[in-house]
This record gives sequence, C-alpha cells and structure tokens, in this order.
Amino acid sequence: MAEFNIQSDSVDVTKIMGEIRQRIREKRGTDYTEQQIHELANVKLEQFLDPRQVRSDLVEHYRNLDPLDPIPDSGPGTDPIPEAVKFDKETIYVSSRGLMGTLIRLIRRLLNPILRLFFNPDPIIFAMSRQAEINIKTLELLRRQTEQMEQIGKKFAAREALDTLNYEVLNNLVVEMTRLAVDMKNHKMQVESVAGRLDFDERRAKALETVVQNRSSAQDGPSNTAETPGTAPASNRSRRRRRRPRRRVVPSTQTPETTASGRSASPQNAGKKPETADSQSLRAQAITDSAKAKAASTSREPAEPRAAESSPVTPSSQNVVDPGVAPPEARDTDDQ
Amino acid sequence: MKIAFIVQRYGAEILGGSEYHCRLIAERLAGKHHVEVLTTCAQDYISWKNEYPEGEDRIRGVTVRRFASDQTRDLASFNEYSDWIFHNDHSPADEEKWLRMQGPWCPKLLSYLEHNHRNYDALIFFTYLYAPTVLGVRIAPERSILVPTAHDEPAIRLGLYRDVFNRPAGIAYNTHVERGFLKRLFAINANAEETVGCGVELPPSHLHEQAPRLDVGDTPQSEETSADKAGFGLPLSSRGAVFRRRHRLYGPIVLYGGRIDPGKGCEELLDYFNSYADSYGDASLVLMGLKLMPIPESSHIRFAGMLSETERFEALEAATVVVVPSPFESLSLLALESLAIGTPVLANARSEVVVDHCQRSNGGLYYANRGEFQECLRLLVNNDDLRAEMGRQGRAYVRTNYRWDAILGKYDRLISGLPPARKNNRPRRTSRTSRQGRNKKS
Repeated sequence: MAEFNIQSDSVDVTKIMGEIRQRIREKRGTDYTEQQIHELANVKLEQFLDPRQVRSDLVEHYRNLDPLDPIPDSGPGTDPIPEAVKFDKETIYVSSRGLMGTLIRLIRRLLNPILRLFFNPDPIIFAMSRQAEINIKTLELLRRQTEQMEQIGKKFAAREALDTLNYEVLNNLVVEMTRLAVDMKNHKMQVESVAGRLDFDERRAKALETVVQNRSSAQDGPSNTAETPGTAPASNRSRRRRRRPRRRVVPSTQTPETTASGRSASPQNAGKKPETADSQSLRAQAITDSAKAKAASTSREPAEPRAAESSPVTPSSQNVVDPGVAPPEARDTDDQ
Repeated sequence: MKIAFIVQRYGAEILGGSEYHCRLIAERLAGKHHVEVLTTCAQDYISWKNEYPEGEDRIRGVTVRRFASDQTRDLASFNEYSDWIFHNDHSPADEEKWLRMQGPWCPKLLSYLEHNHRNYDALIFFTYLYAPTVLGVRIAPERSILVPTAHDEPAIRLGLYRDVFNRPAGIAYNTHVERGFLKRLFAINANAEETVGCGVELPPSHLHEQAPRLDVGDTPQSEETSADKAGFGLPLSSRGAVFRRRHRLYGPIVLYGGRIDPGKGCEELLDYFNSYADSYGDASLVLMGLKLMPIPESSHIRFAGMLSETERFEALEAATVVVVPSPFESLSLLALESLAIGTPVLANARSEVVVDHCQRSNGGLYYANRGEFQECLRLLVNNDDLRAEMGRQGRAYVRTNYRWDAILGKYDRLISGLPPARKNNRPRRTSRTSRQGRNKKS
C-alpha cells in the first residue's frame, strides 16, 4: 500500500481526508458498516444467496411457498348438527300426551290388525331403525373428522410460524456469514500489515547490527585485527563499553559514580580479561564526560527526592527516570 | 456604557465552553465599558448546587452579582422527563416544567433583572439553553443580545426556544455554521446579527512561533542538542519541553482538554485511542481538565488534572496533536487555541463547527470512525512536515479571524445598534442597590 506523499507547502485538508478515506477503502476492501449490514438483512434472500452454492432448490422452495389459507371456523352462520333420532318397532305407536297418550297407544295397538289389512309397516320400521343407526354412526364420524381437522389446522399454523423462523434464521446466517467474511478480510489485511512491519523491523535490526559492526571495526582498527580468534569476547565487551559513554553525553538517568567506577569495581567483573588500550582510553573519556555531566546537572538543578512522587500523573514503567534528574518544575505540580 | 452579561455559571475555575467564552468577552469588554455579570451561585452544571456565596464579587476586573438558585437538579428524573418530552407530543406547560427541571432555576436573578434592566445599556445573554436566558430575554428584548452557542441537539427543537431566538435585538453567532443552522431552524427577527466568535490570544511567553517543534521521537534530553544543532540555541523550556518533563512524557502526545465526560465524546476517544495504541503503540493520550468519568488504567493514557492557564498553553505546545472528540461544539476554544499555538487538530467529523475550522484553516483533520481516527492520527504523528505546515496555516487562520480587536469591534457594533437605556429611575435604584450592598457587607 502506497504511503501518503503530502507536500508540506500545499496542505489541503479536504484532499488529505479524501486520500485517507480512499486508502481505508482500499485497505479494507468492500467493508460494511453496521447500518449497511442491517439494511442487507432486510433485503430479499435471493439477492444474497447464490442458490448453486447453498442448496439447489432452496430459493425456489421459498419462492413457491404460498401462504396457507386460513381454516374456516364453524362460525355462527353454520347450522348445528341435528341430534340422532332413535327409531324402533314401537315408535310408530307411541304418543307424547301423557295418560291420554297411553290410551291412544293402546287403541293403536288394538287397531293394528286393521292397519295391516291396508299395508305392511314392518319393512318401513326396519328401514327407519336402520337409518337411525346409520345417522348415529355418521355423526360420530363427523365429530372425529372435525377434531382431526382442528389438529391439522393447528399443525399448519405451527408450520407457518416455523417457516418464518427458518427464513429469519437463514437470513441471519447469511448476514453473519457476510460479516465474518468482512472480518476475515480485515484480519487478513491486519496480519499482512503486521507481517510487513515485522519484516521491516527485522531488516532494520540487521542493518543496525551491520552499522554497529562496521563502526566498531573502523574504530578498533589494527588492534582488533591483531586479535586472535580466541579474543572475540573481549572485543565485544570493549564495543559495549564504547557505546556506554555515548549515552552519557547528556546528563543521564544514571549517576556518574555508577557509570565511572561501579562496573569495574564490581565483583562480577573481577575475573574478566584485561581490557585493550583502546577501551581503556574510552573508559577514561567516559569518566571525564560523566564528571562533566554531573557538574552540569548539579549546577543547574539541585537533587529532588520528592520530584517523582510529586508528579500528578503516574509514570509508566517504561517512562520512569531517576528522580535525581527531575526538573525543578516537577515540584510545581503539587500546586495543581 | 454599562453592560450586563447573563450566564448560568461564572468563575475563573469554571471549565464550560460558553462560560469560559463569556468570561473572556466580559474581561475584555471591561477595559472599555462598565461590565457586570449576573449569574447563579452554581459551580457544578449537573446539580446547580449553590457553592459560591450569594452577593457581589469581583473577578479579574469584572463585577459579578451572584443569585442563589431555588432548587438543584435531579439528574435521573430530568433525563427521564427529557426523554419523554423529546419523543412525545406535549404542551407549553410541559416545556416550562422541563425548563425548570433543567435549571438553574433562579427567580432572584430574574427579579433583579426585571427591576434593574433599565440601568444597563445592553444585556448580553450567553447560551440559549438555560432558564436565565429563556426567561431573561423576555424582560427587555430591545436591549438584549443573545450569544446562542447553539448546536444541533434535541432540546433546540422545543417550542419554547422559538421566542428566545425571535425576541432579542441582536444575535452574536460563534460561527457561520451555527448561523446557518439557526437560520434554517428559526425565523430570526433581530435588528443586528454578526458572526463574532471569541478572540484567541496567546500569553507573551508562548509567542515564539519560529521555535522548532520537538521531534516526536526525541526525548527532552535530546531536544536540547537538536535545537543547538539547528542553530537556534533555545532553552529547554521551548515548545512544550517543560510540560513533557514535568509529566514525564516521551514520544508523541495526543492531547485532550476540557471536561472528561462521555457527552464530550471522551468514551469514544478512549476506545479509538486504545485501538490505535494496540496497533501502533507509539503515542500517549494526555487528558487535562475535569474528570467526570472513569479513565481506564493504561500506560498509554495519562490524566494531567486541572492545569493553570500557562500550563495549559504549555500542554498545547507540547502536544503532537490536539484531539477534539466532542460531536457537539458551537465554537471549540480548544481547537482555536491549539491552532493559534500551531498544533494541528484532530476533530470529530460529527461536529460541523470544528470540521469547518479544520477545512477553512487547513490546520486539522477529522474522523468519522475508528479507521479514520487511526489513519489520521498515524499520518499526523509520523509526518513532521505536514504538522509543521498545518500548524503554520492554523496560526494564520486564527490571526486572521479571531483577533481580539476585531471581536471587540463586532461587539461594539452590536451594542451601539441597541436603543439607549431609559435611566429615569436609575439614581433611586442605584442608591437602593448600593445601600443593600452596604447592608450586606456590614
């Protein structure tokens, strides 16, 4: 990705912002904002899905789904089912008029032989009683079928709700898939970026090492070349010592005493090999520099043991410096 | 001329944008006119609790009359009521109730104004939002000047504010963006309108514009040598080194100043900055001002607390970038001061006003999302030449548009356009007032 190339004499904020936005677009590819994702979620499924990849007939299946007609209720307009009537051979003689009815039934029975002279009522009685039985059976059947239909209706309604849910789930899955694809792309870009930075850092470290080696070989000159391969650790040590005084040019966080004599007098260094003449001269230079630095810092500012704790902000571990070199302003912060 | 400023809070330690703006204008006008500030005893804008003593006071050459508020604000119930009123049909009585709940509810101030407004040639009301302005503008609209400090927020669409913008004789807008917004929203009948804003002037100790900026990668120790090498021979105290040393800051500084409050976009800022630090990790976010929300413990984030004016300018100098995260700004003095000092600004793109400053000055960038924040910040932190050029353009913009003489001239024009005060009963009232003052003192 190309870095910005902004000419300092022609800063145009609008143009820079345009470039930044373009750069972000390029970096992220087709990115979606939350709003766009929600808009996409509301779009019809077939605009999202590629039917060949998901399921061949899925979209078609959903497209062909007709909404179910609602099952009609047995509302107030429909007639109630009539009750079944019992019919036997006595039914044609009975009367509903109480005591009088009993008398009438008796008379009818008495006159029955005369009736039979005109026609035979037995087949009619038989047919009618059989019809009554059939009616009862039919009614029972109807009741059962109604119950079954009701159950089927309920199942259909549940199925309809399930279909909506399925559609929603599928839609959400597609949205999440899209989001994940976008995230994956972003992560991929981020990994590439980190890899690039790592690569750059490694190359930089190598280059720095080369510079240090070149410089040390140039400064050491013949004394280094005269060393045998076995003296390599000593030359490394002298290189480290050479670098140390360079850091002490400006008054540093370490006290000069430690810099000048602390290391050589320490028991860890007691058994080390003798130094080269070059490193000894550098050490002498370092002692002089440190002494100068100490003199400069003492003349400019007195030591302030309270300075570190008087600062209103807590210094991070990487930024902590010796309180002894804190500026005089550090004391003022107590007044804030 | 005798001028009264009416504002919800007033004090040297008050950080609010419009209150600070009012104080700056009052102090500057006090050099030419007899200026009085009428305000409440509140120091905290959330509760409006009476903290300053009631009565007359003098702050930096300005007479301040404080009046106690009758009630404090119950924030929870106010928020609930606000939510209802912004989303439902309501009556004018409901709006009056909302105004009262919002506070500061200070009938004594209004009563004083009602009895003494004739003593003043001009009444300058700061901030359209609060009760002292809404009710105070009704008292003498022909001699009232409104400094709305308005931005697009739900409250401005309440019916009660129609009167606030229709009545006053003069309106002093802060920016062209604000003027356009209010013109679209209200039928403004003011006799005089000006886009004024607020002057920005650096203390004399901060006027060394040619001083080299501290390289963001340098430590304060190495700065001395780099300056010496460049031939400037400047002391270590130049370009924010003092602030860096005092707060032990190394590397690039992203500075925010003001109320550290979610309403000011600080939550979003912390979130975006954390992700920037995770990705690039080469800058510190320094927050200066009043802390009104928890700040996460992080080595990249520092809280510098309330700073004095001098140290605030030192901080602005030391900053690599000054960030203005607030989505609602009517002027943004932080952005203007930062531009004046030559530090580029990184603003929230939702704040039209600050984006306008950035575009007009070419002295800052703006972000609309996390990605833009990271890219803009990275660009500004890594590009010294760009920062230097933006700083130069920012300084030029402030010098051209926000000079104090021009700002005060505009106020003078607005004030001179008002009808003179009728001072027929002034001696009697003045003597009574002074007698009351004497009694209070005794």
